[in-house]
Amino acid sequence: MYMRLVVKYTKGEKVKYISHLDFMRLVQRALRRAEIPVAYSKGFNPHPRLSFASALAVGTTSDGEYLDIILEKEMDPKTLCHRMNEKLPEGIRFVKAVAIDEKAPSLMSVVERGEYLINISGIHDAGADAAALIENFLSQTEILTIKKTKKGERQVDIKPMIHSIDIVSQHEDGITIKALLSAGSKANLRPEQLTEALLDFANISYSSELLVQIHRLDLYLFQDGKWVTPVEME
Amino acid sequence: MDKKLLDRLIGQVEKPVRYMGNEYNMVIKDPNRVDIRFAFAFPDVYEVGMSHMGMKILYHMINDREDAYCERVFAPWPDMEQKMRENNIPMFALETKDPIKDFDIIGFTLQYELSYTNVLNILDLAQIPLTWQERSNDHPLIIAGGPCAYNVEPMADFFDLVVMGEGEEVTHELLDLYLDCKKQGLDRLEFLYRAANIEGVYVPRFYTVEYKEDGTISKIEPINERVPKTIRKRIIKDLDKAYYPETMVVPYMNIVHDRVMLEIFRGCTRGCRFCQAGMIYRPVRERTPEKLLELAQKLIKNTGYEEISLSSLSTGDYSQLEKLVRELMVRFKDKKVGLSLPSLRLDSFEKELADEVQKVRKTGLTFAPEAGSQRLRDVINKGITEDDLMGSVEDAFKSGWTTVKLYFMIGLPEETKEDLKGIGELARKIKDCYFNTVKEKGKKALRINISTSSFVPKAFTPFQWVAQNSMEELDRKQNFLQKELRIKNVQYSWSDSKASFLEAVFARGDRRLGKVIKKAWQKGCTFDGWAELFKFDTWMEAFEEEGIDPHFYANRQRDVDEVFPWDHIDVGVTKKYLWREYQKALKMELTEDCRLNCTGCGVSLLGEGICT
Repeated sequence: MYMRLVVKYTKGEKVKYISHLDFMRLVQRALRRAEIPVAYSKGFNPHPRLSFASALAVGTTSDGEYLDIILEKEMDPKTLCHRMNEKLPEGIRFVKAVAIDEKAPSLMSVVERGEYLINISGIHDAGADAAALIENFLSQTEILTIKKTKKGERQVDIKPMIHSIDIVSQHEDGITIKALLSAGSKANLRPEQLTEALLDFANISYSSELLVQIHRLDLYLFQDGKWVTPVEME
Repeated sequence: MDKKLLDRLIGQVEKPVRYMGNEYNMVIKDPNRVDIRFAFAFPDVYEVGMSHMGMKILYHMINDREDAYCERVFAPWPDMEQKMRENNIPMFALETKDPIKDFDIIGFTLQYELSYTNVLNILDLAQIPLTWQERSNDHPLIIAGGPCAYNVEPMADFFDLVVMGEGEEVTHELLDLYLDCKKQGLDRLEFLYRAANIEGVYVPRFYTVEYKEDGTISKIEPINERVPKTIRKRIIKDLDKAYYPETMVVPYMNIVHDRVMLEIFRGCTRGCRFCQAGMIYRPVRERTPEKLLELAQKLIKNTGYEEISLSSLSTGDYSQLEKLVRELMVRFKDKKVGLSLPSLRLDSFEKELADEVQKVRKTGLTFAPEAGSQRLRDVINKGITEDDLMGSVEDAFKSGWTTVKLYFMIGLPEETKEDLKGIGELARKIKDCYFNTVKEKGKKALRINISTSSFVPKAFTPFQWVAQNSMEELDRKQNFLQKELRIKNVQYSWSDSKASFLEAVFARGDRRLGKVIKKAWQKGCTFDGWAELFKFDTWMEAFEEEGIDPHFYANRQRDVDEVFPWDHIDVGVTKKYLWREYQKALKMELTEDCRLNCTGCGVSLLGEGICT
């Protein structure tokens, strides 16, 4: 009797430099330490049936990461989180797990939005009117950025992928904003791309002091007329 | 130290996890509540150092003491080094990110000669004077161990003391003495005198070296009566009782050996005459299968690793290999834990198991005939015949293997052109064997990878008297082999003769080389073992500027009665035995495996009943 679970987890400061690939291996090893009955794929080289909603850039922290796991036998979701938290490195926590339909589509395909805190510091002339700046930024008819692909460079209008930007706080040499952006397999705007476009628009040049810290707050999908997180899915 | 700045810098370099720490099973202690802060330093990059067995053992062993905190240090890659220097970040330990200049002891492990400049670079980044002469009582004690410690003379200026042999017991004795001296308020010199009387501890400054006019050594003597004339290596008598960690730090990044490593035995009885490990790690001592199984279960439980490998100098020689492997398979099959077996000797039972169990890693099969002809294999006492090899290869092809790796050495004593041709002939025979064995499908898949390394004569081996081939000779041999091995399905790779030359200089070097190492480092040499960072010309400038001829060390044939820089070190195996073996080599006489009959190497004198 297989059981499919969606797990919400966090990735903190102490583990923020772990790459996506290394992170997957880390979770697999923690699952073995915690003796979670993970289901394995068939075939010559079986691997655990585990997938991640969305890759997080190296250096980014998060309160809202999700993974999708299939167990070979039933297990209380709370027990799973508890046992994993005893075996995970500091900085990674399984917050909540819920059982979902085994045939439900993959997390990656249903997630549509990501919410981020973007903290920019080290700006010399941070006194400018940030609210006005962001308003002007968003009132452009299109926001063109250059996307580098394997075939070369391509212009992309990122405006349709920005759903909101709010100022959280302003400080001496920078600003913290909250941004709701498209995320997932249909459309995806990386917060780094937004930050770059915003800094360009504000004519702020990159210097060694400039520091951008990005924190993902959560991921959302649209279900029955409202935005919910993957662990609130019906 | 600005740890916020450090954290930010880590984000700006390649592979930041190298410097991040916080891995699962990393030991966390309050540094204020220990008496000794110990930095275990591996003078190479994280993913190399983290694969090292000795570090895993000593790290957990020291941390099991309540009074000590052992942290890890690895050589920062040049991109990180640059950031550290630009921002005045001193060398730090991974656990606490505290500067190691404030530690009590920094212990380096010397695994290969080409890591020496990294030792200097780590000390310099740590803002610690390089030589013992420049350091005071307030600086950390700088110590070393590992295989290169047996002839540590080229590095004698940089270390306060050096540990010879296996560290499990002597480390505790040293730490106890250190604490004792600290409590009594004794100074560094007094501590060193007392340490020098612990068996296995060598304090280079207490020995003087005198030279003859021709540059060879006339004598090595203790400076006074307070220290022993010879320093005898330490060995652990019973491996089952020796400390072995039940847990290991689980790295985030892919390291070289990313799996549970089970050390099944120490030492080797084969007696290959080129092999330093085979001599210095004698005698053979095995762990019992029961102990190993217990360790395997604990290690898998505590690390979550998906693979176990067996570690030793010659795993096929483990007396209870079949029992161990079968039992490991039985216990871990359902847990999806794979077993990686060294495939040096694939005899019938392994093949049977390989067929039975899905996840024995089937990446490739490796053989090390070392020499291309039976004659030369007899010279080096490599007890493998062509029939053995062809039999194993045929079995492997029958079981579905299509990639075979073969390791050879070039520049061995007594080598002729015929021996080199023999490498090509062997490659052709293996190819023929494949096409005769595998008649049907997949013929194109065959790959025979031949690689040669250049022979480096090492201290404490029967070939310690031998001149290394010149770099020109080695290059000629490599060119010859490139032509000989222009065969379809065969790929040839070889090692840089310049790196082998430098390795040979230090492997049998003396104290006068310390200033060359320092000069080369000052001129920018680090990571000499990494082809992309190796600066041979800079090294040659350093030799030139210090007025030292490197060929004196690498390419000179020694006389029977020459005093070696390591003659005051007693590894158990006697110089007399080594000379006898050298003479037998010249006559192509074999020496049998000493499990069968004692060959009188001298190691049995280290203690009763240590040879089985």
